[in-house]
This record gives sequence, structure tokens and C-alpha cells, in this order.
Amino acid sequence: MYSTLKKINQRIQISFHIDLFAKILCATLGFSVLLKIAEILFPFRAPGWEILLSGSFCIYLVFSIRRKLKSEWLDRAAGMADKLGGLRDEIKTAYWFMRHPKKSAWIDLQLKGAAKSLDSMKINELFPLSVSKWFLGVFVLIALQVSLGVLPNQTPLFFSDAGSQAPFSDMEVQIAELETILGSEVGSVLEDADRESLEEVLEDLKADEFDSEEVLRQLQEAEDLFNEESFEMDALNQEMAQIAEEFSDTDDLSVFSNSLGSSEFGDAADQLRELSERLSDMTPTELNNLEEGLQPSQNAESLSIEELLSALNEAGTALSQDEMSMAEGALTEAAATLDAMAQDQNLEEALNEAATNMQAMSQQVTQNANSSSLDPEGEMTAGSSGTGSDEVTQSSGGESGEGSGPAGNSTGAPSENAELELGEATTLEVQLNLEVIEEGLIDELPDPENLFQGGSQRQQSELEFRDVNGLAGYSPASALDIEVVFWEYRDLVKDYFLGIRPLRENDNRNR
Amino acid sequence: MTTEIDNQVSLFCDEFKKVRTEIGKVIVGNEEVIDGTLVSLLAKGHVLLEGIPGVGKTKIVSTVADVLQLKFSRIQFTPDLMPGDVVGSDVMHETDMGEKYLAFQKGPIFTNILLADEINRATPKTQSALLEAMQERSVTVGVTTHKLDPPFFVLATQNPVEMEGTYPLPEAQLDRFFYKLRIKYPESKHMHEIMNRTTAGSEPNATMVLNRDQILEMRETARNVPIAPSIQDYAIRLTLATNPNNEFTHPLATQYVRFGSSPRGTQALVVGAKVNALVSGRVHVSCEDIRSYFLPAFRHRVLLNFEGEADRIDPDEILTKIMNDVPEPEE
Repeated sequence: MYSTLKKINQRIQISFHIDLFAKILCATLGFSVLLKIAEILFPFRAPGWEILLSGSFCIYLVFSIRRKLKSEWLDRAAGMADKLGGLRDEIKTAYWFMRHPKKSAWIDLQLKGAAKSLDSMKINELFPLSVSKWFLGVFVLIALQVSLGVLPNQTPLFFSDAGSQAPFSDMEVQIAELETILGSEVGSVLEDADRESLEEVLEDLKADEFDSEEVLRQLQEAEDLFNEESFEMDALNQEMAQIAEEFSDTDDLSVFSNSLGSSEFGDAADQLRELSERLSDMTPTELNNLEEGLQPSQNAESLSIEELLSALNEAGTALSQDEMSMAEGALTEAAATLDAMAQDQNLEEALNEAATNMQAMSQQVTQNANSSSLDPEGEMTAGSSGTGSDEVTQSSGGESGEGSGPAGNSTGAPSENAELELGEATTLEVQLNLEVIEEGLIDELPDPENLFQGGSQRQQSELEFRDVNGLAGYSPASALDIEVVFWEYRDLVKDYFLGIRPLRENDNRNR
Repeated sequence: MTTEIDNQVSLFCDEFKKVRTEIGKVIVGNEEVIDGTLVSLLAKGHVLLEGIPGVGKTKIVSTVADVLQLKFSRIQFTPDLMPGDVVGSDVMHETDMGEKYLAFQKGPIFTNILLADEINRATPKTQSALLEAMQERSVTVGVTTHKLDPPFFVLATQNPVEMEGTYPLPEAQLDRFFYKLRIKYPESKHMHEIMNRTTAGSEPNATMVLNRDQILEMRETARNVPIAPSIQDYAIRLTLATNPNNEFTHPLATQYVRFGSSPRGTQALVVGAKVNALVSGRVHVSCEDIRSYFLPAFRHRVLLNFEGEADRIDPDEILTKIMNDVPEPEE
């Protein structure tokens, strides 16, 4: 009998685990689909697959361990055998007597009967190892998941600001980028005090504990600083493009000329170094051409270009005097100048990026401040830091309707000279009035008879017993004084007595 | 040994079915009432039959008496019936010598099957005369206690309490009834059968199929049926659910019940379930056996509170809900 019960239990356990696995998978996929839909509808970034799957696996483990810990697993198998075999608790009873043996012929007979019933039971038919129906749901959800994945990324339909396509979590990305920039050489253009102050702002932003106005001011200052430090690369590039044309006529300098024209100073530097290495292999004709090509006629306005041209001129002069080593040195010097320009160019780009970041963060902070200060009706309330055309007006305490206005409502009208400056604190005056019920309203109170019926229908009277006589008409009230209670007054009388009944301990009535 | 028990079980089953078939020759329908009456007899209990006049309460009892070879008495309860009329009394006798002495004159209660017809028409004082007899199987008159011959089986009938001229049975008296069985109004097809049997020619008669010793043996057999503690626990939880203010209380019991079933009710559930198991040819009790006589065992033991009375709640409604809501032992 034990072995049969164990076999039944094994099949039950396997079915349970298959079913549990399918259910949890279904729930995970369902949850994932919901998150996917939420991503489409709202500005929201769903957790990754790994997190969801890990969570599901943990739930599966918890359920499995919980089931494993239950000691009465054979008891359950006996119960299931009884249920599915229509044995009316025969196996369950027998299993109990097996564990608690008693010397009784009746119990022996019962055990024999149970063993016989178990032997004749078609276990494979009664406890089939079938695939859980939940797998159907799994397939449907996988299909849904795949179809949602095919959809192109789009802007969230709700709660997304039309002016900003970025999700709200961009703030975190921007903070991270800015931290990287500050850590790089770009940060070195700031003075220590400015950099520390900016780092503090970033910390506040990360902790989401900041004063919007102060943060905005500091971000603006940082942006200005970055803009000031700009190397005016645009003007330099334009001038370099004009000069580059002069080198294009010389064969050996045409590639160099192109690099200069397209402001790829690093490449141009490499080409000059390569040229200096090739000088010794050049024919006299080629050297002559190069000598002429390296001496442009234009003068430079920019200091760095002037240095470059000077080095190139020196190289040309050295070539004309057959001083090859000097020419090589001059070309290397020109290449170094170009390297320095390339570095300036990179720094310029980083500064621009930092400035743009500052600007974006300023916008973000402003938007967050605005959205947090909006009341449920979408009105701007006092204390918010509006930007641009967002003007906050101060409402002065106006006159309230006498006795008719609901208490607590603001009834004041905005005054004319109430324009506020950004960030200025405002107050909202509210005049509270006592609610006064007009005499006419008393007539609208519910009919006493309906009042009682309502109470009776709820099966719980909320009517104070002293109100019964006060509100009831003559007939209902008199019903309490007579011996025979008419059927229609039965509920009234019941409510009356329930109302005056003293409360008992553990009374189910919530009075 | 087990073969002997096997024989006992099959004999029990056969004899029960024989009695049932014999009663069925006279009584049309009401199988639940007949089974309940027989289960109660074999579980050493008493039965209270309730039904409107003319549905065959007395006929059922007299037919049961007919098929059992037992002494049968009938007391027609009336408002002027006195306790002495039930249990008997000391009567003055005179010897041939002219000496006078008091001798106990046994009342109709000294029998095996007692039909207490329309028990709720007698006053509570007279109704209470049955208390000791039903529980202790003895009658005390003065200082003398007289034992009643086993089996002692009271079959009381009553009309619904709302009817004129009736006295509700005291709670203590009610609790001594093993089952309270309700006789339903017969269905149309049963009415036809009743008309055919009773309005043409001779009425069918039931023959005696079970004697006193067989009944006593069957009673002993029924008590031996083993019950698993988990099933017993189910019966206990059902009982506790009918009582307000305990951990198993059902919400309906909290709202409408003043007192739930007593432990005597649980005894009735378990013993009745054992008999029911044997009748089905089983030597173990199932949850279904417990449920099968839950209503008859508890409906007279659940006392409604004011709110329940005011809302005209039928205890059967509460018990049915409890039966559906209390879970079986965990599978």
C-alpha cells in the first residue's frame, strides 16, 4: 500500500511541478506583456528579462520548497486517491491506521479493504502526467510578447511632455554624462570652486533633494563658463580651409591638404610625419616641388595656424638649402602643432557637449518643478518656479458667498498687481465659512418610513433608538406599544429592539 | 476474525435493507425519514418527527413498530396529560387479607418503542417526564428507579410549532432527540401511489423482519466501525461552526445563533455516520457519512437569537451554508 501511495504521490508531484512551472511562466509572461504595454502608454522603462526570470524562478523555488516541507504528502496522496477513485475516505482512513496501528479486527479489515481498492485502482488513468493547460496561455503570451516587440519604439501616449521626447529617466543619464565630462580634462577648464559647486549640484540632483532655483542658477553659471572657454574652432576651421587650398597643387601634399580642409588635424599631423620620413627617398624634382608647396603665400590670423605655417616655411627653406635633417625637424614641429590643434578641437567638442548637457538639465529641472507644483486641476499653485510664460498670480482673499459657499473653498479673485517673479513665494488665502442648512432643505430629508425600510434592508440599523419615536409617524410609533405587531411593522420593531440592545463582547455589529 | 466481521457487516447491511423494503411496502416516499429513523434506532437514539397533520407521521412510526419484533406503546399527548400518565404511578392495592399497599403501576413508557404522538401538544411538565427515560433509560418514581428494557426507542411526532395549541419542546428535551426528521408533503406521483394503496381493497401490511436480539447485535456492530481522527475532526469543526464565539464559528452563526449544537450533537453525527457506513457496506466512516445526517442531527440543536427569530431564519439554511463552507480534511 505504501509503494502504491508513493507512486501516486510521485505522479501528483510531477503534475504539480509541471502545472506550477506553467502557471509561473504564464504569470511572468503576462506581467512582462503588461510592462511592455505600459512602456508604450507611459514614460516608463520596464525591468529587463533577467530580473523577471530570476523573480519567477525564486517564486517557483519558494513554492516547491514550501510543498516539500509539508510532511503529510502521503496523506495528500491518500486523499487524492479517495477523491479520484470515489473511495469515500477509505485510503485516508487506512493510511492513518497504518501510521497509528491498533489491534482491532475491524481495523485489519479496513486496511485489507483499502489495499484491495488501491490495487484495483488504475493509477495511470486517474493520475495522468498530462501537459498543463496553462502552457496554452504561455504560447499565447509568447506570441503577444513577440508581436509587441515588433512594434517600433514610439513616444509614450500618455503623460509625456510634447516639448521633450526624452523619458524622465534622462536626467540620470545626463547626470552620469556630466560626471564623466567633469572627470575628464574638460573639468580642468573650471576653477576648483566652480567644479566643487557643480559637483554638489549633481549630488543633490541624484538624491532628488534640491532647490530648483538654486540648481538652475548654478547650472546656468556652469553653462556660461563652458561657453566662455570655447576655442572658437569654427573661425579657425574656416581659415584653415582657405589655407589648405594652397597645398592642393603639390602632389605630395594633396592628401595633407584634404585633411586640413576637412579639419581633420590629427590625420594631417600623421601625414606630415610620414612625409618627413619619406624625404630621404625623394628625387630632386620631387623635393623641388615640395619646397615650393610648403611655402604658402597667405598670412594667418590665428596664432596656431601661424605657428603651423611658420614651421612649414622653415621646412621649405631647409629643403632649399638641402638641410634634410632640419627639414624633417620642421615638419615634425608642424605635425606637433597640428596635434595640439586636434586636442583643442576635441576639448571644444567636449565643452559644447557639457554646455548642451547643462542646458538640457536646466530644462529638465524646470519641467520637474512645474509638474510637481501643478494641483490636480492643473493649476499652478504658489511656490512653484515657473519659466518662460508661466506666470503665477497671487489670489487675494475675496469675499465669500454668505452662508452658501461650501466651507474650505477659495473664493478670492486674483488681484491686478499680483504678477510674481520666478521663484517668489506666494500665499493662498482661504476663508472658511460655516455650513448653514436653510430651512427649506429640511423638507428634503427622506421620508421616515423609507428611512426605516432602508435600515432594515441593510440588516443593520444605524438609527438611534430615540429617533424612532421622534421621526416616526403616529402609526409606526404606536406599533411599539401594542401586543400584536403587524407584519409591515415587523422590521421597524426589530430595528428598534436591536437599536436598544446592549452591546455584547465580540458583537458582530459595527455600532 | 476478519471473515466474521465481514459476515457481520454484510448481515447488518442485508437486514437494514430488508427492514427498509418492508416499510416501503406501506410508506410511500419519505426514504430519508425511514432511513433516518432506522439509523437512529441502531445508534441508540430517539427521533422527533415533524410535519403537518396528515402526512403520515404516525403511520411511519406504527409501520416501524410492525416490522420490528418489539413491544410498542403509544401515548397521545394532550394538554391535560400528566407526567404520571406517561411514567406510571404508585397505585393503592389491597390484598385478600384486606391489607392495603402501594404498588408501582408501570406507565406506557415501559416499552421498547414508544410513540409519543403530537408531543408538543402536552405541557412542558409532561414533556419533561420523558427526559430521564430518554437519556438514562430509566424512570424514577418517588425513590425507586426502574430500568427500561433495551432497546428503548422514542419516536415522537409534532406539528410545526406555529400551529395553534402547541407548546415548544424545552431545549433540554430537544437535545435528547438524536435526529429531528421533517416529513415533506408528498409529491404528486407519491400522492397517486398513496391513493392507490389506501383507497382500494385492503391496505398493505408490513411483516415483522427483525427481532430484539438482532437489533441489539446490530447496535453493537455499529459502534465498532473505526473512524479516522481527521474525519472525526471534521465532525467537530462542523459542530463548532454552529456555535458563536469560537475559532471555527461561521459568520451566520455569529449573526443568528444564540446556542449552537452541543457535544451530544457531535456524538449523533459520528454514531449516525458509522451506521450509515455499515449500511453502505463499508467499515470506515467518510466525510460524506458525516454530512448525510448533519441537518437532522443539528437542526433542533441550533437555537436562534432574537435577530434570527425576527428574520424568520430556518436553522436548515444556516446549517446548509455551514456544511458547504466548512472544508473537508485537507487532501
